[in-house]
Amino acid sequence: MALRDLLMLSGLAIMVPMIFYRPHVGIILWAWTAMLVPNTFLFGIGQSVRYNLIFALATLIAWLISKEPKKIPLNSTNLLLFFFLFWVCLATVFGIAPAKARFDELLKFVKIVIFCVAISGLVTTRLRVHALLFGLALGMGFHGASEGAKFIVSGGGHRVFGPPSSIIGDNNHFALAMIFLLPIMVYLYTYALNPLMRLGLLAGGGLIFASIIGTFSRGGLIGLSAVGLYSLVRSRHRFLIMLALAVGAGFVVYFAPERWFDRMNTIQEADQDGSFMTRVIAWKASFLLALDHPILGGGITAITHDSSWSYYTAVQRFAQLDFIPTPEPGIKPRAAHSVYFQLVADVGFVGLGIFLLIMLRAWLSCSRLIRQTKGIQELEWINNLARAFQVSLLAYAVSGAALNMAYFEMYYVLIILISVQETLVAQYKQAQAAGVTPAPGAPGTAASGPGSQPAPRPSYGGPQRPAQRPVQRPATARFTGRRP
Amino acid sequence: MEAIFFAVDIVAIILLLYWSIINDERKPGQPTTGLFAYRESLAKDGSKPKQDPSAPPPGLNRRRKR
Repeated sequence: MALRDLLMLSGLAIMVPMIFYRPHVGIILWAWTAMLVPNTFLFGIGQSVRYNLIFALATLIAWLISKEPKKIPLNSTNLLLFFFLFWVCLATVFGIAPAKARFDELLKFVKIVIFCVAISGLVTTRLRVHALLFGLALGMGFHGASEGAKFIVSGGGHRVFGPPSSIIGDNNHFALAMIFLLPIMVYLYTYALNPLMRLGLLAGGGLIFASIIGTFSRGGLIGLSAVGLYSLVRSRHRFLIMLALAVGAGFVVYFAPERWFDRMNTIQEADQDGSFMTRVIAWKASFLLALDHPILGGGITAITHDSSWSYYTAVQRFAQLDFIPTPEPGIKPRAAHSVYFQLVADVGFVGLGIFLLIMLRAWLSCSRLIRQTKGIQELEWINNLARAFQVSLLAYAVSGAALNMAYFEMYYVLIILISVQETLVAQYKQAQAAGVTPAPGAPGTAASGPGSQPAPRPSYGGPQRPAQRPVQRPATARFTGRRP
Repeated sequence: MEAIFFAVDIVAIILLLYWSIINDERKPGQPTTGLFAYRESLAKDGSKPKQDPSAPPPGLNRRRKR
C-alpha cells in the first residue's frame, strides 16, 4: 500500500466519526473531496474508495439523526435553484442524447443540488461559512499550489492541467476554477488571525496565480484581467491591488516562456485561430439545436452526441448561420465550449433564462448585502465576503463564456452561500428589531452534538432551545466577540 | 513535491475539522482561537477591547516601583 493511500485511509477513519459528532463537518469534507478528487493521487487500495460518496452519505445520515434543524430556507435563490433542477430533469427526460450519457450527467447535477440543500440547512453560522471556505480553499487550492510550484520550479516549462477525469481537468477549466478561488483566498487572508495561516494563504495565493499562468489559457488571462480591472475599480484598497497587479505582471514577464506570449498574442487574431474557430463552430451547432428545441433544449450532453452533431453541422443546416464565417465543421462532436451555449443546447432558452436569472439575482444580492451591511461592524465580514463573491461571479461569467462549465459545483456552492448570508443579515435585522440580538454567525449557537454546551438563549442558526436565564450583555460585546 | 502537498492538505483538513468542532462549541461572545481563527472585525478597534469609560485611566492606581 502506498504511503499516500495509508494517509488518506487513516484520515478517512478520523473524518467519518467527526461527521457524526458534528454534521456540518461533512459539508466541509464533501466540498473538499469534490474539488480535490483524491482518487487521482492514490495508487493502491485507496484509489477505489468513493470518498465523496462516503462523506455525502455520512453527512446526510448524521444530519437526519442529529438535533440540527432540518429546515431548508425557502428563499428565492433556493426556489430558483429547485426550478432550474426541475427544468434540467424535464429537458433530460425528453432529451435526444443516449439515455445513459444524459442520465449520468443529470445524476451529477442532482448531487450538486442536494449538496446545496445540505449547505443551506447546515451552514448557518459565520464559523461554519468560514470553515467551508477553508475547505474549498484546501480542496481547490491544493491543485493550484502544487501545479503552481511545479510551474515555478520548472522555470515556466511545466504545463498545468487539473486532475484528470474531473470537471477542472482541462487547462482552461482549471484556470477558471483558480480565478474563481482567488477572491475567496484574499477574503480568508484578510480575516486570518494566525500569522502562520496568513503566510500560508499568501503563499498559496501566489502559487495559484502562477498555476493560472501555467495553464497557457487565453480565457484564463481574459478572466484574470477582468477580475483585476474590476477589483481595481471597485476596491477600497486600490494601491494594494495595483501593487499586486504589478507583482503579477512582473512574475509573468520573468517566468512565462516565449511560447506563453505567442499563445496570448493569438487573442488579437481570434478569427484566424483554429482553436477559437472550433469553438465558434460548436456555438453555432448548439444554437441551431436550440432553435429546433427552444423550450426544453436537447437535454444534457445533446450536442456532444454523434448523431446530433452531424445533423446540425450538415451543410444545409449550418448555412443558416453563414453570416458568421467559420471553417468547415469536422465530423468529431465538440462540447459547446461556453456556459451559455451549453445551456441553450441542453435546456433550451427557458433553462438558460432561469440560469441567467439565478446569476443576476446572486449579483444583485451581493450588491444589496454590501449596502445593507455598510457601517455595521458586526456584519463587516458579510460586506467583504459579498465583495469577494462578486469578483468570483464576474470571473465565472466572463471566463465561462468560452468554457463548458455550466454544472460547475463551486458556482452553485457560491450561490447558496450568498443566500446563507442573506438569511444571516435578515436574522440580524429581525433580532435588532426585537431588541434581543445574538450576532449572525454568533459562536456557540449551533451546538447540538454530544458534549455540546446548552445554549444560554434561543438563537437562530442553530437548534432552538428554551432559554434558561437571559444573559444581559452590552450590545457591542455580542457582535464583536468581546467578553464584557 | 505533489506527495508533500497532498500530505499537508490531509493534515490541514483534519486540523480544520477539529478547529471547526472545537469552536462550534464556544460560548456566545467568545472569539475563535487556533490556527484557523478569524478576526471578528477588520476595524482597528475591532479586535481590542474598549476601555471602560468609568474605569480610571491606566497608570493612576499603579504603585510606583522603588
